Amino acid sequence: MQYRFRCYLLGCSFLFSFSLSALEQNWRVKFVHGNAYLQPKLINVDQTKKLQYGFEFTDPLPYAIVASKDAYLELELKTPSFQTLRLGQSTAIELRKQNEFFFFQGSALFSHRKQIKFILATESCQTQIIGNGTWLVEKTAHEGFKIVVLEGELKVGNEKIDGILQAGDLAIVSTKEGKVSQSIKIELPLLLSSSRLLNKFPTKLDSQSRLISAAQVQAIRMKKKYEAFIGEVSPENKVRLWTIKEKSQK
Amino acid sequence: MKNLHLSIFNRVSCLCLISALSAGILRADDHTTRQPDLRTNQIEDYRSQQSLLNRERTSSSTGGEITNSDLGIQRPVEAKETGFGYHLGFETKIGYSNNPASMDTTTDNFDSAGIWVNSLRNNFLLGAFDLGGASFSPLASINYSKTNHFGNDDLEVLDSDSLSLSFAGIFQFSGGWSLRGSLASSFDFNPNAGMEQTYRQTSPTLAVGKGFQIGDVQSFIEWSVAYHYTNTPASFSTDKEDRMNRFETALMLGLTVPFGNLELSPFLRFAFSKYSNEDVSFNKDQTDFLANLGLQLKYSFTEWFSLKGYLNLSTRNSNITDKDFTRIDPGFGAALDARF
Repeated sequence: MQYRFRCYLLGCSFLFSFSLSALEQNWRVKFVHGNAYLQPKLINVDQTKKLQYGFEFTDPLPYAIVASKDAYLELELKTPSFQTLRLGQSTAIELRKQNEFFFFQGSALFSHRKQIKFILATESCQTQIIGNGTWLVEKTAHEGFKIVVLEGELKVGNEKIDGILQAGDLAIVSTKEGKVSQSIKIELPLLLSSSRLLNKFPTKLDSQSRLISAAQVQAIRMKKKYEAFIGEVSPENKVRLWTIKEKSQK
Repeated sequence: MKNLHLSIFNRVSCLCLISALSAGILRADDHTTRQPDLRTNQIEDYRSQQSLLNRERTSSSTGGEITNSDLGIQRPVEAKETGFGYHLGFETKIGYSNNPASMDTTTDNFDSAGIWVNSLRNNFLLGAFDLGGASFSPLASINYSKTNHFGNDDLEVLDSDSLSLSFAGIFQFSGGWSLRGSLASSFDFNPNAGMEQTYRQTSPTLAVGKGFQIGDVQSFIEWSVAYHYTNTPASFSTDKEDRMNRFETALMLGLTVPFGNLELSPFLRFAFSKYSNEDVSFNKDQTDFLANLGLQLKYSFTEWFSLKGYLNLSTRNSNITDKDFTRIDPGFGAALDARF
């Protein structure tokens, strides 16, 4: 009887700890350059934690993560599924619920092998992202998002899915309903060599070989490169293109 | 006495005539011994296939500093749905060879001639597929080349037409590594004898390669293992048709250095061949070590028209007597290339 009771207690404690671990997000700082902070929702200066290499946190949600000017931060999440989150310079995000991110400003890189459902929000835009792969997101000056898929596939939009983005696709998400623009193909080899969210970090992503193969395939399939670069997003949520002058015109 | 002198004179004359004839026959026979197992187009085949895979590989990287965004430079492009591509190339080359028959150069039994080669290449890229960590590109090729010898009537017997078909699957990994599996067949014909087939070779090949890029300079190294199943019509009743069957392993390395429209491409190829034929004395237990050193200068006037100059040096060291040779082939040519 006593033995059965012990087994029962052991089973209960296992289930309890398992359910807790499934709920909590145990982020670990993998790399930090410059100043980065963890700030609980209720602003209290004493509770602000400066993030350093190896620091692990399981603070109750919500909380904000900030990478200051000239700072880069890489976080790793082991459970419930492996995920890498990199923040660029001058980036402030709030982790409201599990996989629900509010962007105050800045840019981030997400990398995950498992299919995950994210919610990204700003003051006047909210969208749902479902998929797996490595992707970049930047809050635009007009409270929307610029999303670029480096490898894998994402379904972006609300309720009924608006758009499917694949490796090399760039789309703009705007409005409260999370309207997704038509996607534009962008040059992956150039992006991989110029993205600071990839190159300013000392370790390569686990998805590095997938990034390379996606870029290789795009390079082989390449039909035409436009003499232009994509810049900021206009107030009408349209991408601005900067054309490259011909050498002879210089 | 007079009869004796006449008899001796007749015998000596006969001997001289026989030796002269036999020398002539042997010399002619030496020249007519085409060596179809010595293929000289490996580097061209490699480069023309790679041109379909690498044509957009060079990134116009300008660094990340021109943009304030950490995302990186976003340049709009247009890409094909599956990546089907086609390369049609025509090349004409005129050159000189000090030993076009690849004869033993330790004796005087070799001769020089001019060589004119016209080649038509069709490479079909049957798509590019992302396997998640590796890309896969199947390639099919149909090539036809016509080789004519001039300036030496004895060596016109070496003229040949060659048709080759190949199918390759190329896996490319990160770090520039690649794995290539291919099956190729070549058919040689004699244009001076009603296009009679003179040789056939089918070669399954497995190759591992790596590409490097230092600035604008591209380089490659590839190690391949192949077995050549051959068919050579028997010239003697004792000859076996598969007497050229052989195992071959080769290491090929090369560079492409661009200087504006001019491209300098040196290459080096080492190969080890072991013939499987055990039954005849012709090449029983033959083991060869071949080396090719080449340099190509290419000046591109447009994307589709270029002029070329080349210099190739080939040597063979064989365990069989009279098989060693050295051959120097300088020349120039023009090429038309269209890629879709």
